[in-house]
Amino acid sequence: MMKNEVRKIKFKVFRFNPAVDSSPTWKIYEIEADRSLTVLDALLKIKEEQDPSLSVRYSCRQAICGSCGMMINGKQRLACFTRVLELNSNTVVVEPLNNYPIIRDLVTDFSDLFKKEKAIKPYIIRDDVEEMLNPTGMYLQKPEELLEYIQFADCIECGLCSSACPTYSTDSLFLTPMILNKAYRFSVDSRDAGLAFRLPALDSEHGCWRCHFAAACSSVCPKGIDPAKSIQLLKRLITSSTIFKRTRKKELQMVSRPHATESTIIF
Amino acid sequence: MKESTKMLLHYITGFLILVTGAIHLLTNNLESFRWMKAILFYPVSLGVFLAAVLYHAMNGLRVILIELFPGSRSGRIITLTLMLVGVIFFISGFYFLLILFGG
Repeated sequence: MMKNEVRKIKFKVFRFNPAVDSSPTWKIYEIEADRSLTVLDALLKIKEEQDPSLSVRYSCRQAICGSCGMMINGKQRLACFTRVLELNSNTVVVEPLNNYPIIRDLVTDFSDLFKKEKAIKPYIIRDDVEEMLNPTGMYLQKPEELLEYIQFADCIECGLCSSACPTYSTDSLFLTPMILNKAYRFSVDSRDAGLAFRLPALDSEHGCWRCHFAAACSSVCPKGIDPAKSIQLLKRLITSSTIFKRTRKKELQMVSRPHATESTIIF
Repeated sequence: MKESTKMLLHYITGFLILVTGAIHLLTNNLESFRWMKAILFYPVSLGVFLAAVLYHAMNGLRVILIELFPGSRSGRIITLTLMLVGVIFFISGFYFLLILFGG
């Protein structure tokens, strides 16, 4: 049986309220950590017991919502997914994510990302508008077609990849790995026919071509998505469709929706 | 021109620099390749080398600058300025090649 080790850990936390403070400060807190304590637990403990003014954003506590991304000992991590003792350090430095404006303390503003996300139309776009408006059935997808995008569909939009991106740190207009990964996920989907609508954003001066494949995004992704790979695949997809005019053949088989008999359709 | 076309040309010119640069080095340093200097192929390859180097360098600079100064207006200014600089360099370089090989 593993020994439940308890250690005193120093937390050096970034504090900044742009509405009040002229410059950021660091505050040091000390807490006892056992092997189950995550950085988020530690921060909430600090908030409850030592400093209620500390601001942290979180929701699910199980690496699904992507709210608690922050810099922990200099690396982009999810606070709920990082155990304090696993960091192997007596001092844990906690800062807000790089590349984003700070709302307060450890909370950063993602509105720029969400604005960019709208530009790439992150949803299935099809030619058969009538079927989209009044669906009569479901599109079948083969397992190999699902495999083309399923890895990239696991994104929880935590923004760690975009925070680690060296291009985004200088080029604020760059679409960022999180958005480009989403664009590839939808463009390669066998049900989608919307690449042409996404091209004005993707094939632009600040689109996918500004990725220099540093792969910092992939190294910090808590879901193992590999956005650097999806961006390279997106470049290939765009080159083959815009320059070589090669479009992927997307033939879809349709099956009627289960339980969608005339008597169950409500008008 | 689309960004994908610009970047594809960037990769192609990178490859062309490698090939024509190798031709230039081999022709001037190895006795067995010296015969190439006497035919039209050599000045043509130098012309291709000049155009490829200029496109590759100017586009590389453009990429660096538009990342450092993001914005649609600054992007246009950077692209047009570098295009002009590239054309001026190409004309002067091509003129020099004509003097060298044109007699």
